Amino acid sequence: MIIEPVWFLYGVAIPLAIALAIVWALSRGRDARAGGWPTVGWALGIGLATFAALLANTGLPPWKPIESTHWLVIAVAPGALLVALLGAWKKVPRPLLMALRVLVAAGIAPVLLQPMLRYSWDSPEATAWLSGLGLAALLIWGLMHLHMTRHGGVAPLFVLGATAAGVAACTVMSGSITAGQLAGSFAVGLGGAYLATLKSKSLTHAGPAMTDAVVPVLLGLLINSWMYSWRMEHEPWAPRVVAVLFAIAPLGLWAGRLPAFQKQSEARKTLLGVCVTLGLIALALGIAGYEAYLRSQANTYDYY
Amino acid sequence: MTRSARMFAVLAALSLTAAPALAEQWEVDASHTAVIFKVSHMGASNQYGRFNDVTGSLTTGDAAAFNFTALTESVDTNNAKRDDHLRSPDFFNAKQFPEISFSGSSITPNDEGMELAGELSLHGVSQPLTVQLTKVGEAENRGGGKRIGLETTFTINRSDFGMDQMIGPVGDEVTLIISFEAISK
Repeated sequence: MIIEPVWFLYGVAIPLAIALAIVWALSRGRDARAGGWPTVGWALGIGLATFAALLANTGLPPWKPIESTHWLVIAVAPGALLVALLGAWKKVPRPLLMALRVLVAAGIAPVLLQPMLRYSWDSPEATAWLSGLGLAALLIWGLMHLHMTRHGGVAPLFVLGATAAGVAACTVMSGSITAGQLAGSFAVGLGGAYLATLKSKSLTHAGPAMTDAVVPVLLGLLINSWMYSWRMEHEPWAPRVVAVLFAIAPLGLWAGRLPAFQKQSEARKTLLGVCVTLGLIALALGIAGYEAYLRSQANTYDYY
Repeated sequence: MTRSARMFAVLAALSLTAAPALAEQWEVDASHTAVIFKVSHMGASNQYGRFNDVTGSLTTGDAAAFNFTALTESVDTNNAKRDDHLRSPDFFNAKQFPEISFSGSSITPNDEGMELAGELSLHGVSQPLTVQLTKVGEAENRGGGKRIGLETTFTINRSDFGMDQMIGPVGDEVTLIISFEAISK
């Protein structure tokens, strides 16, 4: 893999600045709990920054998507706009929001896994995979949304960004630079938004829209990397275990909310949750790293 | 020759010329087939690879048709780690696009062998392609029937098929050498 200094400018620094500027400008002096402009800022900031990083990393995809990664690139900007519009419309009917979430959660796998449906899975297998992945997506999304609604804070954004960075690192280690760059671009967008939260106290209650803008894209990136990129032949169970670890990693935040830690301060609860998340990510990277080490033994090929 | 005999001879000749060319079906013998590709590496050297799992069929005559398929999963460059990288979304994206196929219905025999015009489908993109197959030779099968050897070399740009990652370190232009034996069915 060849990384030139200019790549850091276009692929990291500029997208990071875009997210930071948009989130900060649209949220400054406003209470994010009320929805409206701060929500628009979140969605647009993360979405446009990710799109900018993707352009720098992988280039503009064809108008007619050829492969599943194109769907992700194409979906990021309009997805962000949709979340932004819903955020600007303060009194969105709750059933409409719920229906949209269920629709998106159920739709991620069928859109991204078309080739699996065509070439690899028979009907019972496809039904099991799609319903399982759809339910898992809905559960993870719902739990992150609940955490955001109940406890607020910037920790959810941090753990989601860390998970995206972990998926990116794992994917580059395990077979595909392109798919890794996709996840990395998203992590950069989240990083910029996170930096904005450090600048603005009003953003510490970013609101549920943040999870709506982030969780489905992250799950799409994870499914895409797992199904098409990861090569971990030495231990057949490794890809599934690594995928599950990444999927549940953001939910580690709930560890601090267990009854055993009820008397702890808010900061300690959050710290514990973040540590559990980072531990799960580290475990997943450890397995992927071990696989990469085994593959690199007596093989000098270095991805270019 | 009597008048009726002459008339019969003329009718027979006419019927022969008007009759459709006899269709002959051929199947690619995978054990005597090679699909080899060559691509530049960093401008320093040419790297060679092959596809080990290839199938195909050819029908000559009026119902001319051909179909050749190589499985992307079977790519082999004599380096397992590089093969995995080639199967990844950076290149062939083998799980999404398990096959490379060349099919069509235009077969034009000529002095050297035959010209095939059809569509090459690679990485989810189809492009028209015409190749000249040169006849290497032919032989009688031990179990009966014929065996014919054909070969072609042509060049494509992988970016025309959406395979545009890492162009520079890995060349855009890919030369393919396909050599196969087909057995009459």
